[in-house]
Amino acid sequence: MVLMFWWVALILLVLAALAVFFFRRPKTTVSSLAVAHSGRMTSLPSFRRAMRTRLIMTVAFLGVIMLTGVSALVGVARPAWIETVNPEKKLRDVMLCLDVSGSMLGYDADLLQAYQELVDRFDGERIGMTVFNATAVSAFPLTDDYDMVENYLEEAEEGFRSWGSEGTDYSWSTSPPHIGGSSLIGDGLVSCIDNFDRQDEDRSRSIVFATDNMLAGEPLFELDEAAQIAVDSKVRVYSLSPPSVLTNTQTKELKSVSDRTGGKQFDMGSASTIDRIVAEIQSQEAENTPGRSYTIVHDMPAVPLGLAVFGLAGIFVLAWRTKS
Amino acid sequence: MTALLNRIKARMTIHAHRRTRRLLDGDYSSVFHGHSLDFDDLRDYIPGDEIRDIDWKATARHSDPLVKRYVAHRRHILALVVDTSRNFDAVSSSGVDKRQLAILMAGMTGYLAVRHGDDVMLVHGNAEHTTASPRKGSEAHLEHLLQQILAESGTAADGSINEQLQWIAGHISYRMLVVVISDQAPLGPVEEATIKRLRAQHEMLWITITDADLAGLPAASAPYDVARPQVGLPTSVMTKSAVHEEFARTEAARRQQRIDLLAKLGISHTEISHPDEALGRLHTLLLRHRRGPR
Repeated sequence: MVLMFWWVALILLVLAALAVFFFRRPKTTVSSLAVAHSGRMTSLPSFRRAMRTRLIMTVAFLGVIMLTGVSALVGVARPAWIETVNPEKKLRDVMLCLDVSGSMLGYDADLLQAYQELVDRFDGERIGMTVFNATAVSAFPLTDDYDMVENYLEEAEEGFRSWGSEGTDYSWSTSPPHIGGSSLIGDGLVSCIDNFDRQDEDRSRSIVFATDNMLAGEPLFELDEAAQIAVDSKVRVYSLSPPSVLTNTQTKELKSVSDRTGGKQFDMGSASTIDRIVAEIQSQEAENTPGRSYTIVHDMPAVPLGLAVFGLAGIFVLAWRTKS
Repeated sequence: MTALLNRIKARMTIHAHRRTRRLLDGDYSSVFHGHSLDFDDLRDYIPGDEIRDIDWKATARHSDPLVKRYVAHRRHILALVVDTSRNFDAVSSSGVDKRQLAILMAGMTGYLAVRHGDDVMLVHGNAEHTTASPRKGSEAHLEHLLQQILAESGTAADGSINEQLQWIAGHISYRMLVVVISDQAPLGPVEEATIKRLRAQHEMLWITITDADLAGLPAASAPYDVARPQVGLPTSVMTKSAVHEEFARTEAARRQQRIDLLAKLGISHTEISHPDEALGRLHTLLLRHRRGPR
């Protein structure tokens, strides 16, 4: 609750004070008639009662005038409820990028579970998922429909757990026979980057990149090139890797990609990984995207102006009563 | 320097019938009871003279009534006791200046005394101090006394007629005619005791100058109490019907209490609010005194 034009009210208050000061009647009208023994009158109970009544009336009158004046001033000062809407989160896109190559199949179910936990923690971000092996497939595009996202993730998890007999099976669709090789990491990352829509908007974009970085075959893009593309398109890459299979060099590669793009590299093993990823992404994104917050002004003149109207009516009533 | 007295004399001669004035002379001379026994001569009867002073035998031989005069007619003393406090810088119930009215009443009584050959003294003051003048029988002296009453105007001291009465009780051992000129200040048990004490020694007359009717003042008059000049009195409240009613009731009760008290003490009393009433009221007062209980 703020007063938008408080200075107008302040100026009017000062003017009103000046007006009262300059136009007030002389303190006492020139008393001309001297009388003696006014105690004869002032000691009468009825006189005291009448004086008390007059005092109360005067105070009430003054109170009503003050209330009316203050209400009117508050009304003039334009009381408003200012709401600051911060659409920061609405500007975030998170792409889940999952390697479904043979070496990863054993981990994918767990990774998808981890993704579901990730999604549970998100609030307002748009989430999309791309799976890749020899080629990349968009599991679902960027969306803030979390119910749908969870449905997809559950079905995908079931698909990996049952080796494709139930749920959704991505392993077949991502390794078409005419494309050689598997686990084309660079291609997968570029596809993920390519799946970000609304390129003309200034949005925060990040990728949760789950892979073991075990390349088999000839990719179109090397991981370095893919990383460069990520840097160019201002996409941060948070890599998430199953711990056991990673050799030193592959971890280093992933870490360098993450570092170059401004993300981080996480191991999947520890229980707190998900928490750390969410915290990291959210804090990182908060830093990176302050968001264009905008204010909505809700004018609330009803109460003060209503009071002023009632006060004015009260002044008329009191003036009429004191007159008669 | 005889401005005040001249005005009073003019009022007594112009505004009154000749008869009234002669009446007053008679009234005054019969205020004192008791004469010396040494017969001097006879003079024409003046209306107002005591009937018992008429020499019926001489009158029978004469066409007009004749009154006995006695030699060594004692010079009486008239003591004017006047409250000259700030309360007299106010207006009376007729809206005239109380002090001027007090001067008029003092001047008229004093003039009667001077014409009668008596001495006049003035005891005046307020609650804080009392001033007494020497007693003399000249018009110049009377004028001087009246000027003293006038000179007290503008004083800041409150009034208390009891102080002046106490002064007389404490300082005067001989018999006087005491004329008290006071206002509507209440007479309580203290005043009653003092008056009682003085009454035993002196002939006493009481003139009350009535104070303004506070419940009937118009708003335009902007009244204020002389005790608090900077604060006006709220006419709008004072003229309210409930207040007006109670004021009139208590005023009437107070007035009756004063009249009853003075009557009980055997003191002739009159109320005055306007100079036009002065002669008539003085006549009534003197007449009342002569026909009083003694």
